[in-house]
Amino acid sequence: MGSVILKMEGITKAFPGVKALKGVSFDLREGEVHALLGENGAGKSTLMKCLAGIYSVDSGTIEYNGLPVVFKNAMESIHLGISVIHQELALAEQLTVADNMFAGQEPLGKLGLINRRAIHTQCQAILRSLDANFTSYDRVFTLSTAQKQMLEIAKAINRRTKVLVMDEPTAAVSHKEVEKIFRLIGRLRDQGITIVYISHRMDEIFRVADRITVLRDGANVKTVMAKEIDKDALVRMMVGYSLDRYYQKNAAAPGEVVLEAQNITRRDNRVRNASFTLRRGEIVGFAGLVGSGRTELIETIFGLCRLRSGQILLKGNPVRFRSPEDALKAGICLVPEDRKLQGLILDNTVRFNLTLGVLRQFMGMGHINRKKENEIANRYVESLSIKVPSLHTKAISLSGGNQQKIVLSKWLAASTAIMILDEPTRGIDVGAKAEIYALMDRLAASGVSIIMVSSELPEVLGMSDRIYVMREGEIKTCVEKEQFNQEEILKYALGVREDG
Amino acid sequence: MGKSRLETGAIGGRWHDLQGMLKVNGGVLAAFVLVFLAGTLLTSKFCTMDNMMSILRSIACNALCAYGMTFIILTGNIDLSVGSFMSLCGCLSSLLIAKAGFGTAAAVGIALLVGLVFGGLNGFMVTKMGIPAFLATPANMNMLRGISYLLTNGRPVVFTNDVFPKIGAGFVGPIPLPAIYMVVAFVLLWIVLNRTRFGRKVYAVGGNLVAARYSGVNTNRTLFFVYCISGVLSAFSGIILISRLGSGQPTIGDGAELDAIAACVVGGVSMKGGSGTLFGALIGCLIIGAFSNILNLMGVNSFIQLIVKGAIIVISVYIDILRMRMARRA
Repeated sequence: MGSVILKMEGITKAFPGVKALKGVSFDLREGEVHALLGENGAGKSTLMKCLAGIYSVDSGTIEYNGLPVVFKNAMESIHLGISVIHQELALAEQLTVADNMFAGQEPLGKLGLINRRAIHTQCQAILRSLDANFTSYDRVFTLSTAQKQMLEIAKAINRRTKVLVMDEPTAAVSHKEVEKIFRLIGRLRDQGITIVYISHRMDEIFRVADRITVLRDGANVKTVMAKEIDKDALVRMMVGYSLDRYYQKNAAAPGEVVLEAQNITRRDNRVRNASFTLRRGEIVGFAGLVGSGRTELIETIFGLCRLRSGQILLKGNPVRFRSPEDALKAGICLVPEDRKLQGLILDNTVRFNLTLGVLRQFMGMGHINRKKENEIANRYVESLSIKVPSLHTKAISLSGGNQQKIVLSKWLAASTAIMILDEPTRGIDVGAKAEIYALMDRLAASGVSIIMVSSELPEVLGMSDRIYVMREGEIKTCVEKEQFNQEEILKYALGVREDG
Repeated sequence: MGKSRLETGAIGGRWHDLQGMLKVNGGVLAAFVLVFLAGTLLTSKFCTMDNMMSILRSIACNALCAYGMTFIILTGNIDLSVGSFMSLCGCLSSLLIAKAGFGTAAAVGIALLVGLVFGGLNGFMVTKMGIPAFLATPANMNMLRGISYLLTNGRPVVFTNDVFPKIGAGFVGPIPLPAIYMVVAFVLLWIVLNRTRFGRKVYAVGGNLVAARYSGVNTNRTLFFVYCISGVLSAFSGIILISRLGSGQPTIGDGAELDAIAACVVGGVSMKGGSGTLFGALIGCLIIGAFSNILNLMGVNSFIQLIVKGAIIVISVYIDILRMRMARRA
């Protein structure tokens, strides 16, 4: 391993309401593969975006080849030789491989036109050096995911990259093609390129990484040599935290089964053979990594996606929801993952949003009971202490916590029997989180059944009566409250343990 | 503090509505007053009873189309087939009377029904077939225009009937009938938009389609009905125009969709969907109508008027954008 090429020290980065990085330090040596490991929301992506110049850091220093640098934008970082391959590949599908490779920096020939021969020659040379099985003339949409990854890597090489960050490069790649990517990584390392490898897959990390840095909760736990550690020790480092005190959950006495899924498989196969039950007054948690199929599973329950096979039973009767409208009529509501994109009409008022689900209660044919409408809106503003200047305030101007309370209240007003909460506390501050937990507890006590999908393990453990763990579109296990254990659940989520 | 806020919310609802209305439409109203004052100052012929009535009569057709367009734009969509609805349904009603011997009521009824059906076709293409509105509706426009030319053979339809011409050319006292349709339709549609669940859903769909669906709104059905409304209104607008002209001319309504969009935009209906009012669209219509009336009275060349109209649209859209930027900063 070579000398230190890049050093980040005491990096902090805050977003409104969240401190994403709380002083992370780590260094990269020339020609190493450095794995970055951590749970969802541990700060991996944020850290890499700081390195790529997409985010500016709040405090801390970045040294590159011994010189301090400040990145104002992504171009500056690229010019220094740092390339990031994001999880969502940014390729122009309709253009050729060569066009993509040179996007924005094509060599110009006479008359200021693009020198096509030059770009194809250079592109072919790089592809050959990578042993790629496609040509510079191929259109990108004809390539497989692994080939696209390879093209991204080729693009980075073309920019004379010294440090290459790969964010979950194997996430959507078949097993056979994963091998190809690994071979390529090995070759790049031999050429002296430094690679930061972000992944959840333990096996892969041990295969490719020289050193491993574990991030947890916006801070780095430790950097270790890959040879000197095993999986279990890594999982322990990832979990580490103690359960927070602000989860309020009274012991539930769950009643009869209200909802049951029997071997359901989504039409697009993103959820396979999933079975679970939900009892009256129970909070059931769904744990798993981002992309493990949790959101996709609840979409089927809420009528957003059809089933290929299996069935859903509501109070023992098979049901088939064709739209959210059907699900709502049957008393199932969904508080979606992204309140801004899916939950709120941001440009409209608090009142409009609060009462959208219960129009029937105060609107008839051509008349409106304003008093009733205000009454409904005020009731929830008051009981959930939503901080709004007036009912006519636009939803866009509220804080995340207050927005989330509005989305929740919309369904409290409709008094549904089953609530599905997808990431109910994402991006909101600690105080508002505690209030939402308290509300969930109250609801469960009053007989509402709750499905909670969350990527924050402590939250799932703190609030659930039972936990289903999902991985790669399947429910891997169900854990009863007495057996709650963060490490065990994380092992199932990561695929370190496999049974059940 | 919390208490007083809640009380104002409950008791002051009506006052709030008025305040809100002024906040939303204040700018448009001010612009209208300015145009009105300018007209009065520039030409003595402007502020007369006769002239006012003739403005109302001339904008009625556009107003009806603009109402429908308001619903469409509020859902975040567009209808570029308005003019061809006018042509087809107007000509159809005159044909039914002239060639098939239908009574006026039956002819108008059938023409409106045809407007409804083809409006529904627009809605079907946009929702069930998933064709973007800016492609589906012009496609429909071509079809309807084609049918209209086929039916009429491209020549004006001459009819002799005493009742039918009254629809568009009649008066009640000094007030032209089209102006009365305009007001009645405004009241009805205002109620639909502001006092029914359907109206709420229109705003919800345009404000955030996904959130609306997650809230249990049948978004496709809402869009479908919105296109039906636009179809019927533009059909009626065409019938009035043909009736006033006295013969079924298939060329009418050329560019009517753009006039309707202009009225909405001038009236502050956001092209993004989800925000805007029917009242705004009506005032937008009045502004454009008064403006071109003033130019007419001053003897300005009609080609120049086109240029002016284009400029007004650009300016009002830009004002909308500025307003949005300011709101974001606040």
